[in-house]
Amino acid sequence: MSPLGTLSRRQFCRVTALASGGLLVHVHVFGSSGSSGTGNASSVFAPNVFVRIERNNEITIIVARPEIGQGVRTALPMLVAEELDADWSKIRIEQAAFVDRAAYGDQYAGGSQSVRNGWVLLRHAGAVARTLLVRAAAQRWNVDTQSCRTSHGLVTHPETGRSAPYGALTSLAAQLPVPDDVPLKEARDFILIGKRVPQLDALRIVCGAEPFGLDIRVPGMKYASIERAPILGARVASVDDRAARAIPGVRDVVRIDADSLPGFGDNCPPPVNGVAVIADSTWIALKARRALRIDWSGGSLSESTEQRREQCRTLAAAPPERIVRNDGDVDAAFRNAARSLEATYELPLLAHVPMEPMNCIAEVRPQHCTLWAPTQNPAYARKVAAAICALRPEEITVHQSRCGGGFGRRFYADYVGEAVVLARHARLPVQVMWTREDDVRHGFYRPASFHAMRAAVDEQGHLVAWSQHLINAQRGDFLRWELPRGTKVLPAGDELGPFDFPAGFVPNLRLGATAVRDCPVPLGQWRSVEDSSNVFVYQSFIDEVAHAAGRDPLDYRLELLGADRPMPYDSGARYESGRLRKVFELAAHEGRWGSALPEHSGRGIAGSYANHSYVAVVAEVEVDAQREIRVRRVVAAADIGRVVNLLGATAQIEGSIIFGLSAALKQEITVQHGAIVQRNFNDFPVLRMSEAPPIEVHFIAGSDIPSGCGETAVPPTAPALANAVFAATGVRVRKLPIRAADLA
Amino acid sequence: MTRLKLTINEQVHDLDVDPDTPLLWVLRDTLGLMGTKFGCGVGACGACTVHLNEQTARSCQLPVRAVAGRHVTTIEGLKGTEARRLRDAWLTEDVAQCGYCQTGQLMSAAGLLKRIANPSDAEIDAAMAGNICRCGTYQRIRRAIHRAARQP
Repeated sequence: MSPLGTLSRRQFCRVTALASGGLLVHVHVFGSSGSSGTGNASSVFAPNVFVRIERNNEITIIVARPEIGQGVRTALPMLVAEELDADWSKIRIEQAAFVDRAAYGDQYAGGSQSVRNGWVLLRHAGAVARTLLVRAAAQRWNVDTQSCRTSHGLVTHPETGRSAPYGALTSLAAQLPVPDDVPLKEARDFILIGKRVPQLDALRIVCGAEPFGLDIRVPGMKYASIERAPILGARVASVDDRAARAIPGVRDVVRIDADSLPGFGDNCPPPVNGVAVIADSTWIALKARRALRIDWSGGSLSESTEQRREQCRTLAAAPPERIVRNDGDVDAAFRNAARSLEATYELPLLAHVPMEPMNCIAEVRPQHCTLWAPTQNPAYARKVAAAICALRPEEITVHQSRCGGGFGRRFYADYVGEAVVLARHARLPVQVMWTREDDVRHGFYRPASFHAMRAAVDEQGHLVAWSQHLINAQRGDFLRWELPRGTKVLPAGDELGPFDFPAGFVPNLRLGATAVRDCPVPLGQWRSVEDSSNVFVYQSFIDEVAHAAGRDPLDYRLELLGADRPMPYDSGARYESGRLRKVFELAAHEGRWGSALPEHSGRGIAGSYANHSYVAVVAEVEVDAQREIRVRRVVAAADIGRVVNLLGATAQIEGSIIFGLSAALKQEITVQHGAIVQRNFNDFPVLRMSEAPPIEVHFIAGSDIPSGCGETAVPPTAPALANAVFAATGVRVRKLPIRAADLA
Repeated sequence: MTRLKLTINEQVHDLDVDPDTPLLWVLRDTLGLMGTKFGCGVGACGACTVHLNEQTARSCQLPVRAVAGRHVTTIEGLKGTEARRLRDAWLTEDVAQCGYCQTGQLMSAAGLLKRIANPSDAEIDAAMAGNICRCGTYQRIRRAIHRAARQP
C-alpha cells in the first residue's frame, strides 16, 4: 500500500527554543495510510496519532491535552510508554495542535479527567505500537511473536539471543496492518505507572527555555494591551487617543465592541468592551494604554457585594425557590428533635490569578486563522475565532503552549477573542497581553454564596435532620450567553447536588436553593468548582453538630457514614462510602488525631468525594493573641484510584492544599459601584513561602482505575482549617476568608 | 530613544531604547531572553527576578537606564556551582508544577546561596518572601534549596 495514504491528516506543532530564548513554530502536516507509515517510508513509524518512532530510536509521544501545571505532559506519555515498553530516557514529547475530537479525543483540561480518560486510550496507543514492532521482529527473524519480549525500547528473542532496537524495526513495522484489539498489561507488570517520575519539561523549565504562551514570537507580530471597561457592562462613550498615538512605536488604537461580536454559544463568554493599543513592543503598548483618555457609559453601577449579601440574607429567610432533594419529613424531625442548630455560612467571589497572565497571539488571513494560545480549552478558542472571522472550524489552527497555571480561568476564550479582533483589524499577528490588574479585575469568578443551615439531633446525639438552603448567583446563569441576560435559563440549585453529603446518611434531609438573578459579575469555573464552596459548608456544619452533640468530630463523621456501601451520585454514577471512610481514617492516623497539642493550637478534619476521588485533610493550627493563624502542618489522605505518577500526584495534592489555604486565609473579590475592588497580589494575596505549612500526602488505592487528582484536595482544605481554628479558639468560622477580627 | 550599553549575561549590548522601559521588557522583547517572566508588574510576585551585580532585583521595577554600566544576570546566564546545584536539586525534588514562576524562584534562591551557603528555614523564608508560586510548590522549593546547600 502506498505510504501516501488519504485516511486522515494530522498536524503536529513543533515548538523549538532558539539559542536566544525566542521561538520558532513549525507546523508539520502529513498524511497517513491504513498502515502505520507516515508518508515518508524512509524514517518514521507512527501507528497512531500519539506515538512516533524514528530510525534513530527517538520516540516522540504526542500530548493532546494542555499542560497547565497538572502534569499531563508527563503522566499521559507514561501511559503510552508503559505499554510500549519504551526506554523512558529516550522519550521526547510534542504538544499536539488542536484538531478535533475524532483525532485525539477531548483536548481540554477540566474536571480532573485527563489521566482518567487517557487511561485506556493512551495505553492502547502504546500497546498497538509495541504489537507492530514485535510482529516486525518476529517476521524478520522468522519466529513466533509469542516468543518475543520487549523492554527498554528493544525487541528480544530470548531463545536465539537476538535483539533489535525499535528504530531498526520501524520500516517493517510501518508496513504492517494496524491491529484494533491488543492486550494491555496486567497491573503487576507495570514498570512506569505508579512510580515517581520527574516532569519531562523540568530541565527546560529551570533553564528558562520552556516556552509559555507569552514567550512565543511569530514573525512580524505586534503587541497589544487593552483598557477594559472598569464598570461591569460599561461601554466606550468616547476615546481621546491623541496622546497615545503620539508615542513612537504605537501602530493603532482599536475599540473592542463586545456587542458587535457574533454570539459564541453556551458557556463561551465574549470579551468585554475596551480600547486596545497595538504597538511595536509590550512596553510601548502598556505605556500608550495609560495615555488613553476614555469616557465610559452605562454599566451596572449599583452592583455591590454588600448589597448582594443583604439580598441573600433576605432570600434566606424565605423558602427555597427550588427543592433539590427532600427525604423523610424534615419539619416533623425538627419539631421532635432533642436539639437543633442553625447557622449561616458565607463564601466570597474568588479570582484564579494563575502566574502567567492571560495572553494569546492571533494571525488572521483570508481563509485561515492561526492561534497560539495558552488555553485549557482549545475548542472554545477555535469556536471564538471561527465566529469572529466567519471561518469554518477547520480553517482555524490552535497551537497549544504550556500554560502558566489555569485553575479554570483558561477555560474561557475571551482573551482569544480579543487577539482575533485585533489581528483581523491589523492584518498582522497580534499578541494580547493582560496585566495582573486586568486579570484580577476581569476574571470569571468563583460565585459568592450564602448558606442557611439547620440540623437536628436526637437524645443520643445522632443526626436526624439536615437542611441546607443555598442562595447564590449561579455560574450557569451567567455563562449562557445566547439567551438575553436575566432570562431564567437554569433552575435554582445548579450548584447544589442532590447527592451532596450528608444526603443518604440522614433520614430527614432537605436541600434547597434560591437563585440570585441578574448578577452582572462574570462567574466561572474555579478549581474544584462548586465543591470549593459546598464542602466548606457541610464539613464545617457537621463539625458544629458533632461538637453540639458532645462527640469527637472524626468519630461522629465515621458513625454517620456507617456501614460501607455504594452511594448514588450524579448521572447514575456511584461512590463508595467505604472509600471515604478509609481516607478519613488514614488522614486521622497520619495526622495523629486525638494526640496532645500545645496551647492555643487545634486540629481539624474534613473530607469529601469529587471527580471520582476521595480526600480527607487534617490541619493543625496555632492562633496567637493577635488572632493570627499559623498553619503548622497539613496531612492529606487521598484515594485517587490507581496513582499513575506518584511524584506528580503528590504535587497536585500539595498544591491544592496551598490553593485552598490561600483562599481560606486571604482571598476575597468584592464589588463596589459596579467595579471589582481588588487590583493585584497586594490586595488579592496568595500564600507565600513563610506561610506555607509542611504537607504530608498519603495515598490509598481503592480502585485500579485512576481518578481525578488536580482539584479534589481543594474542597476539604478550608473546612479542615476552619475546624482546626475552632478547636484552637472555640470560635466557629462561618465566613471566608477568615479575618482576625472575626475570631475576636 | 537613547543609546545604552548594557551588560547582560556577560555580553555587552548596545541598544537604542526608551530609557524608561523596565529592564524586563528589554530582556524579553528586545533581546529575546524569555526566561525572565512577567507576573504582576508591581514587584510583588518575583517572576521577573534577575541579578544586578550579584543582588536579586525585580526587573519589572527597574528602568533600563538604571542598569547601564552594571552587570545583569538572567536565568539564561545563571552559571556556576550554586546554579548547577540548584538546578539539579529542582529536578530531583521535581519542584515545578506549571513552572512559570520557577525561573524567578531559582534566581532568588541563587542569590540566597551566594550570601548564605547553608541557609536556615527562616533565612529561606526571608529570601524567598518576594516570590509567589500560585501552584503552591513552596515545600519542594524549600527542600530543593536545602538539598542544593548540602551538596558537595
